[in-house]
Amino acid sequence: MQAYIARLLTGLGMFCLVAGSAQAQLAQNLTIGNPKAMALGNAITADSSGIDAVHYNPAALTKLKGRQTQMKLLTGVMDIRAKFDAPAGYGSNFFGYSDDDVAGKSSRTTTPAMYLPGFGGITEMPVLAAPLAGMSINPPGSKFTFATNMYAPQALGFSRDDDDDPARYQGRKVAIQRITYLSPSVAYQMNDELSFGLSVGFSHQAMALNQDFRAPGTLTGVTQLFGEIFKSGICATPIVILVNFCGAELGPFTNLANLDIDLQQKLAPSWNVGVLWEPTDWFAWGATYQSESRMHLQGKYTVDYSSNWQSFWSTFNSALLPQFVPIFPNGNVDEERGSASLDLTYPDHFSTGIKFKPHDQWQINFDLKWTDYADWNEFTIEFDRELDMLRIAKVFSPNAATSNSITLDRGYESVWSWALGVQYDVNERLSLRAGYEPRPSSIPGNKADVLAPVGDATLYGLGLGYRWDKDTYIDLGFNYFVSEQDIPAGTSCNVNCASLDSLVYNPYADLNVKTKTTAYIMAVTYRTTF
Amino acid sequence: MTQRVIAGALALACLVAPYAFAEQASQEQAREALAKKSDDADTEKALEEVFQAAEKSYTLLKKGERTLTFAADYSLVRDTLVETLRQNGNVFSVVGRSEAQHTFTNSFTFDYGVWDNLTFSVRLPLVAKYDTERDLSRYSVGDVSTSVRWQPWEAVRGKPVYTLYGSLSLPTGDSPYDINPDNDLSTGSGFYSLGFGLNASYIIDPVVLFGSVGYAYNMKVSDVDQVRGGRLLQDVDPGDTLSMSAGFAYSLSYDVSLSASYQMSHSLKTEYTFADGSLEGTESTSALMNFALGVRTDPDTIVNVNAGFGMTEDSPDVLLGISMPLDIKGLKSE
Repeated sequence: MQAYIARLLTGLGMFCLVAGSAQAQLAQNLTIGNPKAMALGNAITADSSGIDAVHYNPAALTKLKGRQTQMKLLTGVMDIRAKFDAPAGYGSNFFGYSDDDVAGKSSRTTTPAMYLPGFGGITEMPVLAAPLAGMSINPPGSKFTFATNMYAPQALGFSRDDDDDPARYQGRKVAIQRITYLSPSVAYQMNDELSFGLSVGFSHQAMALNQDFRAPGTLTGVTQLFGEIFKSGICATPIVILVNFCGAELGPFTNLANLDIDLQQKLAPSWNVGVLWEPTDWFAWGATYQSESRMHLQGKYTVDYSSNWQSFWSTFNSALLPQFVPIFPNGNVDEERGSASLDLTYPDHFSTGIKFKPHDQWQINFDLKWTDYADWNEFTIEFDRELDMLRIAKVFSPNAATSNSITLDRGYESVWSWALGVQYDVNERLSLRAGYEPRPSSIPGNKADVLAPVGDATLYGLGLGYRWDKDTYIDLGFNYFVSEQDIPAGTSCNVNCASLDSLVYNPYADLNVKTKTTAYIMAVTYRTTF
Repeated sequence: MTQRVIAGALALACLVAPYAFAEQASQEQAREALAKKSDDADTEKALEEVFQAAEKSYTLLKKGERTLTFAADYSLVRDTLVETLRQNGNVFSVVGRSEAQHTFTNSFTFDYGVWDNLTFSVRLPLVAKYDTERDLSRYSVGDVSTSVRWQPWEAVRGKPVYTLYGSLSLPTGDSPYDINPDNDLSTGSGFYSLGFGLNASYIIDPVVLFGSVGYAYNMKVSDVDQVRGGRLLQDVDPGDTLSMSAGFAYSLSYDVSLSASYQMSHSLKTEYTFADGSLEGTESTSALMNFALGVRTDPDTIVNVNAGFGMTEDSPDVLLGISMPLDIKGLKSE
């Protein structure tokens, strides 16, 4: 019972993890959409990146003279796949029930989804494309450059909204995004060699999840077994006055409920500081610190209980025994709606790097980066009332649930990574670029899941820059991103543990799970004076 | 000429004021409206106009003219909520909780002269709110509002200047009906509000008198699904709001001006529909005095500071603010 409850409730909070893991791998610099940074594998801290320097290194804004504006089009395709296979002996932990319609199936989605600020909820998009823009002003003769930029430090969204999709138990629709809509910045050029910069970001942070629930495990094995035994004759006897399992089936593979949760914070402040040192033409060093952003996301939730859930528990509660042990779900509501909140920290990030030109036409960028995902030790979601699911959860898992909240252990790790970029200047107008960035996962192997199917990843970049005229630059960048996970049955208690004490939501208990996420991202910017 | 301009300017200021009050339904809403909406801006605007003499024949922006104004405001609301409980025919009053809400608002207002006698305006507030009694904090955007101000008749010396306005406030802030009221803070009203009204100003050299009246229709909020006092709130129909303001501005010198204004708004009863019945709220009245000082810091810039206090239980206790035109070099169009 304990495992069952725990799974349910942890599953309920699962969307947090999604956010977590997704952000851990996907978000960092992946959706800024600066073509130069993309092409150089995000090794850009010591280099100029146009108005996106607001994000990468505000000190590099001093490179922008006069009044400049930058328009950007970011587009991409994300291909998310998951495969679920039953190993030999599958079902042994659920009293032999193994008629799992998920086993042996694959899931694939390329449907992007976005959270539209102002409208709320997750919106499926025909294509993933975002127009973005920024501007900068350097008064003539001044050492100061002022700028503001609109960009997306984090944007992950997909939809696999189908009753037959085997991955719907870990994210039917998911959107996690952070859009910085206003970022007043100032950079100061101290002398020819040294610049400093500061930017303050005002962002909209959203996290939304729609997900189905099931709980394969010993407990649901028991309930299904008893249901079958009762229905084979006992239901017609007076025993049902004492205990009643005659409601609809509630087994390991029964769909229990659907959760829709929609949380946001419309103004989440953060700040970036940077330094850029260019002692010679052929060498530069830069460093940036991006602050964390502590948030309290607020919004609405809806829990839609399946007819099986309602029938099973309301029938069960009609008997005498549950009256003396008032810990079971009531099963008397079809839907619960209300307000929820979640404290979330957008982790701080540090990067430092060099730009080195061994030859007039060749340039090498190298960056070291660190992101403080250790901030994501646990997530607590608070609901405005006691949910039917939580009634029983708080009894069996007092550490993870109260009557109106659930707490999820995350245990993420802060990781260092590096990035390498190379640029070749064909002539004064045209530059060709390529980059490579291995992205180690912040998520320990025993936390992997299908909600955010991104483990250790690799990013490749290609692109070019073209100077159209004296003041106009066009940059084009392409990223290929790939991440695969292999999660053998029972190795990650975020997805496929079957033990009774598994406190984390495991809708694919005892299944072998493999995931592969591939992203193709393209961006083009047009920067000119005005 | 100068007087005429001054008058016009003040009149303009007045117009803005009333629609600020538009959106209150409950006490809290009344307070918020008074705390900082277009009303204070009006005073500031009046002062600004005092200085922007020149040969403007209308008190609004000229066709094609654009201005961006930044304002920082602070308000404090201290309160103790007393809840009334009924049990077996007895009525008990219980001190529910005490609140001390400190609200810091940074707002950007963009004005655009569509024609010489029609100005469009939009205001984006960024709100930081702290409740020091309950140890809560919240950053969010506030309610974005837009307005159109129309001066049907050209200003004529010796006669009052009238301006009509229409305004729309959007529930872009955190709605009080979307949060958990025990643990979270709201930064907006939660409903759409449509307002209109009349501003007038009149010059008695060297003073400009100004005043306004306004009415706001507040739209119903449905599907709230919020637990309040153990009951499930489903719909809220906020009462409409009536508002007025009056005051004067006085130009002490070319560089300094003063103004004082009185602002008042009255909200009709709000209707709450719960899952198990409906309930009528109470009417509320907010009133406040506001004093502003305008100082010219350079030939093109006037900085306004203001301080005010609330005069009823439903009003903010303290109001402070500063506003200035934003003109990053090279950005402003001329």
